[in-house]
This record gives sequence, C-alpha cells and structure tokens, in this order.
Amino acid sequence: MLFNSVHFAIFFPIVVTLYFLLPHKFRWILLLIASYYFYMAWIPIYVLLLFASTIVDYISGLLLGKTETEYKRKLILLCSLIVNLGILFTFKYYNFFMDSIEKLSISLNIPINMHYSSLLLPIGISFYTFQTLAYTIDVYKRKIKPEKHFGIFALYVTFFPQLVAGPIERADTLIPQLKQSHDFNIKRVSDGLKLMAWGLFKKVVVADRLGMMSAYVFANPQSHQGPGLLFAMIFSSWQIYCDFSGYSDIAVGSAKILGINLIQNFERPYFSRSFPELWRRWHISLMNWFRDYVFYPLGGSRYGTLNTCRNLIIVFTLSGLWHGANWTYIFWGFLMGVCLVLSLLTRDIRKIIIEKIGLTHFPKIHQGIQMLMTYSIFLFFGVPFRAEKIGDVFYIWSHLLTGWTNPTRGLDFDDFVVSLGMPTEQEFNTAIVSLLFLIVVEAFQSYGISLREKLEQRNMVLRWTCYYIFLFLIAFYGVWNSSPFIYFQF
Amino acid sequence: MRHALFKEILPIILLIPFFIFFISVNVLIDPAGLLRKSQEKQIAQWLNEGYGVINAINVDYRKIIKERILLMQGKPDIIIMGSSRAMIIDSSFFPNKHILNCSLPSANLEDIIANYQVLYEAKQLPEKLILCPDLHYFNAYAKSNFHLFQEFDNAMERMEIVQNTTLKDLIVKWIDPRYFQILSPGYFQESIRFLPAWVVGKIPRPKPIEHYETEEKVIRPDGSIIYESSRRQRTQQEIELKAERYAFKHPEGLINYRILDPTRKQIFENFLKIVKKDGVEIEVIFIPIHPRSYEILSQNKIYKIIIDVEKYMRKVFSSFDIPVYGSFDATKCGCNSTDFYDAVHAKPEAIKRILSLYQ
Repeated sequence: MLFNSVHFAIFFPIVVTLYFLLPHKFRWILLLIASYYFYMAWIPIYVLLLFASTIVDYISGLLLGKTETEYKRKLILLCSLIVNLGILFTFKYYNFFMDSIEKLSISLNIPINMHYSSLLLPIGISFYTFQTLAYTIDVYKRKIKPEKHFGIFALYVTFFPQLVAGPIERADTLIPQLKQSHDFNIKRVSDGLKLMAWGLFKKVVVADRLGMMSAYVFANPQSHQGPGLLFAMIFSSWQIYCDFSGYSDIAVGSAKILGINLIQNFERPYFSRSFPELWRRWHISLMNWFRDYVFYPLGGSRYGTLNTCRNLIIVFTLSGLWHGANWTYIFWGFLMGVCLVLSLLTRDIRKIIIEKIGLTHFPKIHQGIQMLMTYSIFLFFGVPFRAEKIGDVFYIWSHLLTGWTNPTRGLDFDDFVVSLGMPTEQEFNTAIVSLLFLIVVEAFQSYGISLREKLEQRNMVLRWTCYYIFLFLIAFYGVWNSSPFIYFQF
Repeated sequence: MRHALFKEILPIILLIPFFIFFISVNVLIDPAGLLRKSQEKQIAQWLNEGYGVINAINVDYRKIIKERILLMQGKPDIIIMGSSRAMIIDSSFFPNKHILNCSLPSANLEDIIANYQVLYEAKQLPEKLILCPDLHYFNAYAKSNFHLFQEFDNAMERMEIVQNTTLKDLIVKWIDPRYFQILSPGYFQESIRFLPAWVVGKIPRPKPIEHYETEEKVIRPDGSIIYESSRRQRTQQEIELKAERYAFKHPEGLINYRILDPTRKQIFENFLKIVKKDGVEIEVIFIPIHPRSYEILSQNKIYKIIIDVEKYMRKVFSSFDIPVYGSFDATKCGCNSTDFYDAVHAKPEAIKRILSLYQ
C-alpha cells in the first residue's frame, strides 16, 4: 500500500480510530493485523517471507536467551544470518549474481547459460531483514533481552508505518514503545498530521514532478547534452531526497499519531558542510546500522588511518549493494566511500589552505562554499545511483561540459523542457517553485528557525488559513498517479 | 470539562471542512460523470440508433459495450476486440459487412473474455472475431480491476478454470472502484479544472451527433472512434518525442513483466478453444507499435519480453490454424514512424496497408 494512495487515506483513519477506541491490551493485535494487511495489499503471498523472517528471528532470540555456551550461541546467530541473508540473496541478488557470472563467462569466451529467477523483489525486504538482523545480533551481544511475546515481536518486525522503507528501528527503542499504553493526545496527533502533510508535499508535489525529467533523461542520456544532463542530475538528487525523506516524514508522522516515536531519518543533508556530515544526516537509520554491525566489527577507526579508510570503503560499497542488485549501485557506494576517505584525509590540508586565503574571516561565505562543494561532490558522484548502466555514468560525466554554447539546442525554452521529459513548461515552473519553497524552509530550519513553530504561535485564523492553503496546494499541485516510492525497491 | 474537550478536538473539527469541500467538489462537479449511472446506457442507445457520440470522456466503455450488445437488433457479422489501439478499425475495413468494434481503452485479457461472454450470453455471437492482441496480456501484474466480473467468472467456468480470488478482487467486485475516485486528489484536480465550466453550467457531457466533422473525439455507431483533431494533427517531432517517452518511462502494463504468466497463458488458450467450439471464426491483427518505441523496449533488459509475447502468441494461433496479420514490430509489417499518432496508436491507413499485404 502506498502512503500517497486513496487506499491508505481510507486505511489509516480507520486504524487510528480503532486504535484509540480499543483497550491497550488489544491494540497490538489491531496493529499487527493492520500491518499484515498493509503489506498484503501488494503481493499477498510475499507475506509468508515476512512471517518466515519473524519466526526465525523470534526463535533465534529465545534460543540465544537460553543458551550460555558461546559456540552454540554463534551457531544460532549463524543460522539466523544464513536464513535472513539467504532469503535476501534469493529474492534480491540471485539474478544479479547469475547475470554477472554469465557476462564474465562470455568475456572469457566460455559462455555459460545461467538460469534466471522470475521472482519479484518483495517490497521492503532489505529494510525488514536488516531490522530483524539487528535484533538477533543485539540479543547475541547481550545488549537486549529476547522478546518473549510473539505478537509484540511480530509487530516490531512488521509495524506498518516503517515496514517497507524504514526507518530501520532497533528493538530496544521500538519494542518498549509498542508495549506502552498511549492515550489520545491532540498535540501529538496534530504534530503527526503536519509531518505527514509535509512528507506528502515532498513526495507528490516535489519528488514526483522532478522525477518526470530525471527518469526520462537518465533512461536515455545519450540523447542529451551538458545542460539537460545537469538539470537531470540536480532534479534527480532532490527527487531522491524528497521521495525518501518524504516517505520517512509520513512514516514518522503516522507512528507519532499512534504514540510511537521513530528515528528521524534525514536532517537536511544538502545543507551539510562536509561529506562526513552529509552521511551523518542522510538515511541515518541505515548508516547507524552499518556503523554498528559492519564498521565497528571491522575495527572501526581504532587501528590506524589505513584500516579506517579500508573499513569506510567496505561499508559504503556494501551500502551500495544494499541499495540495489546492480553494478551501478556498487560503484556508487564505492565512490561515496572514496569521497569520504578523501574528505577525512584532506581535512588538515584544507584547513590550512582556508586559513591562508583568509576565508575564515568570512564565516558565512565559508559555510556557503562548503555546502556548495559538498553538494556538488555528492551530485557528481551520485550519478551511478540513477544511471541504468555503468556506461551511462561515464557518458554523463564526459558530456557534462558539452552543449553549453547552445544550451537549449536551438529550441524555445518550453520545447527544451519538454524535450527533457517534462510534460509542459508549466510543470517545469511548478517543479522549480516547489523546490525553491522546500529549500527556503530547510534553509530556515538549518539556522534553527522552524516556520511551522512560528506559524503555531500566530492566531488561529491566520494559522488555519495557512494550513488550508498548504493542503489545497498539495491536492492541486500533487502528481497523483500513485508513483511508488523509490526506496520501495531496496 | 466540555470546554476542555472541545479545545482538545478543535484541530480535528477544523480539518473536517477541508475534506467536506474536497469531496463536495468531486461529487458536485463530477467531471467524468462517475455518479451519473445512466450515461453509459444513454450512450449505448444513441450509438445503436446510428448516432455518433462526442464528449464521452472517462465513461465506462465496458458498460457501453455490454448495453449495446444487450440492446442490439440482429447479430453483427464481425466483432473486433482489442484495446484503444484497435478502436480505429471501422466499417470501411470490411465493406458490406455489419461490424461492431467492441474494443475499449486499456483492454486486458479479462476484458476480451468478459466481452465475448456478453455476446455469448446474449446469443449475439458473430461469424467472425477479429482479435487485436496487446503486449500486456500475459503480465500477471497488469490485471484489470474494472472488467465485467460476472461475465468473466461465467467464462472462466465455461473454460473450466478455477480462479484464485484475493481480498482485493472481492472488494472491487462488490464496490465499483470508480467510486473511490470521489476520494482521489487526482479527480479533485480534474474537478477544479472544470469548475469554471460547472459554474456556468457548461460541463461537457456526452452528446449525440449526426455528422462527424468535429474537433472532438467521436465514437461512431460501429464502435470505432475518430480521434480528436489535436491528436490527428500532431507534428512528426511531437510523435517521435511521445514514442521515446513512452518507452523510456516504464510503460504501465509492462511493469514487472518478467515472465509470460502460465495461468494467463492457460486462460488465453482455453479462450481460443471455446471461441472455436462456439463456431466463431477468428482472425488476428497484431497492430504495430511505433518503431522507435519497439526498438527501445526490445533492447531493454526487462522489456525485451515483448519479443517473446509475439512469438508465443504466433505459436498458439498457428496451433489453432488462426490467420495472423501484422506484427508488434512495425518494421516487419511495412510501417514506419509516420504511420502513428503516438507510441502505440497506429493510423487507420497503416492497418489497412497491413491487411492489404496479405490479400
């Protein structure tokens, strides 16, 4: 079920109403049924995978809680890892693996015909697999006690607001909240609704409109030159951000209405002043997962610069693979790791250069340049994330500087934007205005000014007029063809 | 106490007018006439009386076809079945024959089977069925939500195929999914666009016409359509752009099309069997898609399945001795990019040329 669908618009109010009408002891049952229904709205049979993952990790947790012998504990953990990662591999990586072997065999002149699977990627499999793995590893490390209540554990795995695209929650924060009784609180409901509306704006007004252009150009980069490619890169970067952070806002907002606080997944990453900062503010729950379960076990930053760099590159390459079964994602992850390493290695040199040229005397300009540089690097090396083939990545990079003498290729501007995949110039203008609005709001936020809080201090008439205008803008300027969220595929 | 409670729920109360306004606009303006139940019946009557119809926007073609068949006096000689791609086939293709084009926009396999069943149950089976298949017939994820459920179920029973019914199937079977549009922001956008026309009482509603010289899209009495002038007068550059955009933007019916679904293959083959058993002659026209769209799709790792779709269907038709004309690949049936209105809709001249190749 999509958050931006009529289906969800009917489903969610029913769930919320029943949730607050039911006594606390029955609420987990309602949420569990609702979560399974939410998931089954796509391909019902795939709910069995979700159930299998729940059973395996529930039993693993109980066994780990009862077993003291270290090698037995390791064996239980290994079984859980094999089952969870095995399911993930079968559904997400099998065809990629076979395709890579086949291509390798062709390049070695010993062609092998591989058998491909026709299974579709279950929505959200990477998210719930990582969430359940985190639980089992935490129980293994004795950070948390195993959850004995099967229903609550099943709800932890399937809690519908964050089931299909995160945030990836930890058991020690989510399970206690699922057990707590939450009274109806209008302030919380109102905050949750505002967050949902903001997320919906990001998704249907900004992301889906920007996506019209970026999807078209990235599917066919060879037909475009520098200006078109640059437009598509910028639009794509904001589309991905708005799509995913919009989803996260709706997820966090809807959970908030039910009284449950989820982790904030994005903190205005494009306003970061360095690459490491950007990655601390982008998909926070996933980055925390990789930090805790891959980076630290590899040694983290404890064994010298070289090992730290190696660990960072491994973590980011793996995060690329997590995003998708395609060499473009792996390449993207690797490049992000390399950029991060370079950023850390050049930190002192950059500091010296900045002091030498006197930029420290102009802190605002300095900050602006840092933000622009960070965003530009992310934009340039983010190309593999959207490109369909590695060849397209190099094509885009190598053609970014072409065609600038005649940016619109001799076309009128309206024909130019249509040639980039926008249905009309008006759609393009709406995309630009809505994007600028978003940037302004986030710019204020980055200076600690919340426009929402400012508005809340105003009188009721003004406040509600603004709310109504905002809701009408979403309804009227949204792209309502129920485009799936990009991160559903991960 | 009462005051405190009111203050507590005030924000929710204040939100209600927004939703009331939203739904009211959709219900009152109702640009597609979703709540005007009788409009399909009225259109069917006009068509059967020999009038053309304009402004038939967002009407349910399935219901129009069913009503037409039920009201029809005398069997047609030839029935044409397909999607909007086949709707341009008119009586001039088959001189001296009584034809009825039962094609409808975005028709799926379920629609074809259900509409055939309507003909069967009304005892109006023709001498010949001309089938114009589409690429998405065997995509399990392009299932139709809107077909005539009862007739489809009856046909499945005739074909002795047991169906797996999902919860969603049951819901859409009992509640017409079109009514959910009343809650749809997309429909709200459409309603707002029609607001000025509604205020002055000039919302375009379906209307019968005798002469077809109009800029609007016309449904003719034989069930075929004449496209609106804006579509007919597109420049070649616009058409090329549409063809590319269609193929590069993940065509809706082809999403998740990894395999030819075995169940749908079985349904398709059993359908051909019952048509043969009913003594209805079948001919098939593969209406091509724009050569640029075909080229892009057939080179795409995922969508190259379209090549297998045609191969499979040709094999099945051959096993039933069914004559086949044309190809999805325009280059294989003498068509080029000037033969199209957009990515998937060929011009009538192109289809006539395809048929002439075989005569």
